[in-house]
Amino acid sequence: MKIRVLILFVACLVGSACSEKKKDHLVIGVSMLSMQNEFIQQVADALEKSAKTANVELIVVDAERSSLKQVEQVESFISQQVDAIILNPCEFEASSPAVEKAQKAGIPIVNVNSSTKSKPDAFVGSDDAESANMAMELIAKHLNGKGNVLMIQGYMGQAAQLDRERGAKAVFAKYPGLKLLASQTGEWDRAKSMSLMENWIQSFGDQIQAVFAQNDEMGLGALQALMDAKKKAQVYVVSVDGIQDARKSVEQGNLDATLIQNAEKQGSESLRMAVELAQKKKIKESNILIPFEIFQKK
Amino acid sequence: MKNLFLKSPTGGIFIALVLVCLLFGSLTSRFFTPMNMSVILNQVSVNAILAFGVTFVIIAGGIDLSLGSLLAVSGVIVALLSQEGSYALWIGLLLTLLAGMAMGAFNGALVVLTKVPPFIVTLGTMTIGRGVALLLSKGRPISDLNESLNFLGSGDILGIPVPIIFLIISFVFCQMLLTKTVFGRYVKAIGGNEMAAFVAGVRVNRIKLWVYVISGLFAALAGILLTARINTGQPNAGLGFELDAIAAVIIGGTSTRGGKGTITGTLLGVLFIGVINNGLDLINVSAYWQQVIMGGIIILAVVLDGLYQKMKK
Amino acid sequence: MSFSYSGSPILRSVNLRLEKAEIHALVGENGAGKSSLFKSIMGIISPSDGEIIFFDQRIHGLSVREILGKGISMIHQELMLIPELSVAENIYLGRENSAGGHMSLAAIQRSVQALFDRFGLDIPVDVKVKELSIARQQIVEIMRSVSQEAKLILMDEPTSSLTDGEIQFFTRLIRDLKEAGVGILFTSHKMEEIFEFADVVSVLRDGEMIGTYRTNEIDAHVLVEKMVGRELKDFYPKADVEVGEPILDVENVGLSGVFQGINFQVRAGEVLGLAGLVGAGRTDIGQSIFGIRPYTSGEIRYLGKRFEAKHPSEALEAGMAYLGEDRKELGIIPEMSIRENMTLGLMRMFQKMQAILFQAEKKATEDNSDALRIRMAHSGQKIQELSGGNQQKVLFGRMLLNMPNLLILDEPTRGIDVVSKFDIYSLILELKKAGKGILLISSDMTELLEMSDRVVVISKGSQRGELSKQEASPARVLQLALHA
Repeated sequence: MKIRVLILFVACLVGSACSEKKKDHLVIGVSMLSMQNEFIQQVADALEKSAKTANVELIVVDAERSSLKQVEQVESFISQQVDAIILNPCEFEASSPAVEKAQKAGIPIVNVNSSTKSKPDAFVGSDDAESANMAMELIAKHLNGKGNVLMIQGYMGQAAQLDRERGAKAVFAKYPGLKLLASQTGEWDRAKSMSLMENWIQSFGDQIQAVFAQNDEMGLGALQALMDAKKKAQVYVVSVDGIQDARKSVEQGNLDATLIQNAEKQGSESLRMAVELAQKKKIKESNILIPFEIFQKK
Repeated sequence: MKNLFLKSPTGGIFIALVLVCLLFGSLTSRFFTPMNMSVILNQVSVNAILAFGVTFVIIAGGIDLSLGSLLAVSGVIVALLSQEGSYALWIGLLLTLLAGMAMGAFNGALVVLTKVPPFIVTLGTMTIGRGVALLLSKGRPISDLNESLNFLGSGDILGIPVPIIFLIISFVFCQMLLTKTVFGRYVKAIGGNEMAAFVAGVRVNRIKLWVYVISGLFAALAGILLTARINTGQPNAGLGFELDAIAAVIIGGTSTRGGKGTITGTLLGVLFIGVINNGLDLINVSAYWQQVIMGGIIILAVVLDGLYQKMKK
Repeated sequence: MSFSYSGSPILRSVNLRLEKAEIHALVGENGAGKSSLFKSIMGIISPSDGEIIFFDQRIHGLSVREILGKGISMIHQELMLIPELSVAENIYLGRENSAGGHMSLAAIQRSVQALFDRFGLDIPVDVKVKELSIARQQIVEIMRSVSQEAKLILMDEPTSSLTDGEIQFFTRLIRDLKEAGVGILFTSHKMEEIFEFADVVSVLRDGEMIGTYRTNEIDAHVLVEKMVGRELKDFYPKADVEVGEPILDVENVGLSGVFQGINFQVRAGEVLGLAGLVGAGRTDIGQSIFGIRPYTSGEIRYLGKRFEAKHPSEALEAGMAYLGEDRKELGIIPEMSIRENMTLGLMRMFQKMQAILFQAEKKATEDNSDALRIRMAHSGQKIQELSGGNQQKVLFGRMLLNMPNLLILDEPTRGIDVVSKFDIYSLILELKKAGKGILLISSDMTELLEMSDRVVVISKGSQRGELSKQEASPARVLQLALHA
């Protein structure tokens, strides 16, 4: 994919008239948080698919989790004079300049999946708080509103972590019988979360009744630790994102549930919004929330 | 006895390790349990094996920043070769270890032939390695692995978890290699004064190449263990692991300028970091404070070690 | 100005008397107590009894700061200047705010310039110290003492890091200081400079003062005997040795861009000296033969066979041994033990399937250390804890372990004490008697001419001539070496 971008870029340089010539199709720049993340990859795939049917040319770049890089990427989109930008922000605050710069240059920008402090022309995504809320409700229901829960957080301070924490806390407030035994960061990482869960098993032992992990990678790490310690049977584990590994694990009866963020829909909707904005169409709703789906074994 | 202890170059970090253990032991009764000790050893095994390998590089006066990436590439390779219904386990392991050595040899050859500082060379191969891991895995985790591979991560032999067995074997091997062989002697000599070693007839380039091969080999072994432990090959595994490993080596008393260092020290450094990670989880310190405390304790340990070394003189 | 002093296990009943404006050399082996004496005078350590009197005032027991105030200062071997500050700022360091209020930088510079003018120094006062040569830095440090109105300056081996040209400059400064009424007490290992600029020399041995002599009443030979405490039949021992078969034939050898057309032969039982100025290519020739920088033209025959070492290990295996000119850079590994240093590069002799045979290694190195009279606590001691002379002997031990037929010795006695020098000369003679061939490279003209059987003179990378022992006078060698 990067190579394709490079070729496009070189082609542009060689042609050099490419920005002046009237194009017969729209060009949209896309900067994604990290192509190493399976879910983001799925969103990118959906974007590509919709772009093909809409005859839109996409320039997809990977910010590799660096908001600095992301801002630079958007700057280069602006200088290439793309028709619209789709941004999958790395950070709530630090990716904001990207949005501001695009708007200053008069290029419509759509945030997909997560938000930034500066308001874009449109937002397509799911409410992170809602996913955590739904996951915790599942746990509450399973425990009949009473029991001990552990929460594995994402990278501290990231928008997704903050929102998911907020959503989960709301459920704790609603059910006074639910007790948060401990919460620590698993840094979105499977190996780190596995170690964290092993340590928690040492310190809480049989008190643990449920685990909420803020993404599937961490949920799967915790699950592995519980299975190795032969404690899975008494602990209910829910995570969010619905990546393939997690769904498979649910089907095998290991992970209890995951919440699917609809990558397909996030991709196709954000492309639709970007195209409409580029064509200067009037849009009715600038904040499109794609609902989560609960994925659990029947 | 007291004298023997004072003479040991790793006495300082040993005292620091005992102190943090006592601290956590006094804060929670869950710390000093046989089960928790086994959990700690299990958790540190990956970092320990990485750190043992890179100890040779650092003693020889070099550095290897590509460890985390080499670990990821190896993890992906072993996962690809161990998918259900593919090759026998031993073939996957052997090929992965060979791949690790080849990647190490690539680092070593660049360092020796181009004379570019190893910091830069391995910074480059760190990025290349990460890209290769993504290419091989197409950016997605590789799951559905052989049960037999998973055994390496979570099984046990005679009640001892397999990763701990790997940890012990690697420790003994590296300890012997560094202290009892001509190779180990010359690694220290090169780190101590490369020109003098060359003039004395030491095959400096050959030894340097091997040092990176060893680092690659152990990175591959660590990659295998990590993959076996989390039961998937993750292209983004091991991000930042090189820093943990190098930190452990330095905390363990190996000089960044080369020439001095021990495998025992590295093991103590690894345990020190592992114990703090485990202990902070056990006493449930807030996630924000964990990082602050971790950094603070490490600096304190190194300062204490410095004082201790001075006192020894 | 006088002082007497006694006591302490390191120094026993030392009496030393220094006149005003006298240049006084203090000599002795390493560990004889020179630095302890200096430290006592400066108040860094306090003597257990005795007294130090400076211009009729007792000064022992005073603090370092008070002693500095009395007008005694010390120049250490490691210079204590701040590289990033200018010359003038360094000289006034810590005194910018002394009596009379704060001094502006301009005032400091003016005052330092006046001082420099007085001594005819052409060092710019406003450049950073790090931009000066070592010699000039040392002068800046001496000037700092002078500006503090020092009446006595102690100098610990002041010329050890200076080149020949710089030493001349330094000598002039010392004389000017004497003119200005400043007394100087310095330590040195170099006989020539002691006789060149000291008025008086005192000899310390094992913490005892052996005696004080006027330099015009004693000669170098006697002085060395006083230092060593035994009679030296000849400082450069000699014996008639029968010269044998050729060991090394160097024919028209060159290293592109460095030297060319070198021809000489080293035979069994003889020392061939390689003379020339520093940078003439002597060192490079030695390194080429040994494979450190393989030669690019001509031919070398070793024991009758064509020989071309591409790496030092090949030369070692062929039975050569090499001693580099700079012990710290090319010789020792400071952090390693005496034993490990002695067997470095020779571990093939002490291993079985790569595993080190520690017992064999220990025995071989300890036998060797005894034979070479290396002063050490034990063979596991770090080599950096030894004196320069003993470090050099360890490196000789390394060469001997290889049972060499040919030894290439580049500056074998540079910067080591006089007793170790004598031991090394005796050893070279032993090696000669045992039928070894020796290629000796040295900047010490006396040493080179006394020890060599023949001398080849190199200048600017070319061979200027070969002189027999009878022909080789310092004047003749220098004439060839300066050949344009």
